[in-house]
Amino acid sequence: VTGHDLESSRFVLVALGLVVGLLGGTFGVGGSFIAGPALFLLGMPFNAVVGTDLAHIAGKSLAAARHHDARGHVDRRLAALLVPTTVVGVELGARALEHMRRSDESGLLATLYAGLLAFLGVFVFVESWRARTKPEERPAALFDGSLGPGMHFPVSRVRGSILAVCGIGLVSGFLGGLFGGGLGFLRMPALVYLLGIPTRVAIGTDLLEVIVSSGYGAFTHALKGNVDFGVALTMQAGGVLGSRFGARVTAHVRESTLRVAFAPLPLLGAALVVYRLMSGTAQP
Amino acid sequence: MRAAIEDPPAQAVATPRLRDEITAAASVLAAYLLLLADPVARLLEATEGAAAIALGLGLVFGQALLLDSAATFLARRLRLPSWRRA
Repeated sequence: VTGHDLESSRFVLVALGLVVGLLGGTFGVGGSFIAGPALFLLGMPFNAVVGTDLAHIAGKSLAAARHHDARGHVDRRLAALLVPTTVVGVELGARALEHMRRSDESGLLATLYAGLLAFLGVFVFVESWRARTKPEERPAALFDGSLGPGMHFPVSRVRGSILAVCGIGLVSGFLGGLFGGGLGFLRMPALVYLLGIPTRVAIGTDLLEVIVSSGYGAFTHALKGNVDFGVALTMQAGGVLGSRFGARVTAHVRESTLRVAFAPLPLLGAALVVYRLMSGTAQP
Repeated sequence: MRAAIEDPPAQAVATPRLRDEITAAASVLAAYLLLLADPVARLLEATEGAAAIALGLGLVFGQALLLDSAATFLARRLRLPSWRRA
């Protein structure tokens, strides 16, 4: 989608950005599961889809994170641990991807990843549906500060295990680097259920991490000529404005309702991985 | 199994009304499409190599901040009459 094509698709790109921005601002996800296939359908080559998508996500996540931060939904101390470990995880995942291209293990891993996402979607739905009618309480944390050295996260009002936080960053980054995108699907529920982080703070903090990881991804793809900045900026115009409303929705909706609405997203991600597997376009 | 810890209350921020937010966002989007989109596209086409990457990445974050700040500024100052009085 360049030059003339961009001109004719401008309104479609802005509308697409608005939808992705709204979802990203509400649930703390990047939105590549919608934007990627949509750009591909608009006629963009696959290599450019990934880079362009990452560039647009980086910008609109910056706007979304600002709004969440203003509402007290960003835990900077948590982000300071999550960001570097996720970047390391993404790099390890990308290297594993290169290794798996030469082996037959990719299908099995992709199946396991799809299974994990499907399990997450069902688990989040069942848990949050049950919690919907009860007084607002956060789910119990699986790992409190007793697992190795702990750290107090003042915004989240949680004492969490440093090892667990780093583990979440590493694993989600690794799977994201291996299968492309989908980090938010894993990280948001992991923060809520494993560490006991409030849903709104998990969403806001996740967005801060998305800025760094997608910004880094956009940079590396730009070096390889895989980013159409014209398309990214047009989508981002809608995305920035959509994410403002997303942050507003997050602040005004019950946390259990947010999780119920989030549950279909990992299921959609699982379906996408299965589709890629069946059509032979799985990344590894 | 649930922890009996209450979540931190949402921080009080001066949130503009939804109607003002929608009007501000639509105005900013229209202004972007009419005034900014074409010059930005031409500027990107005219730049090549490392400068194009630096410009592109700078614009990704710069434009996001610009549009978001403009929408916030407008939404806080619009204060349109309420639906009931209109």
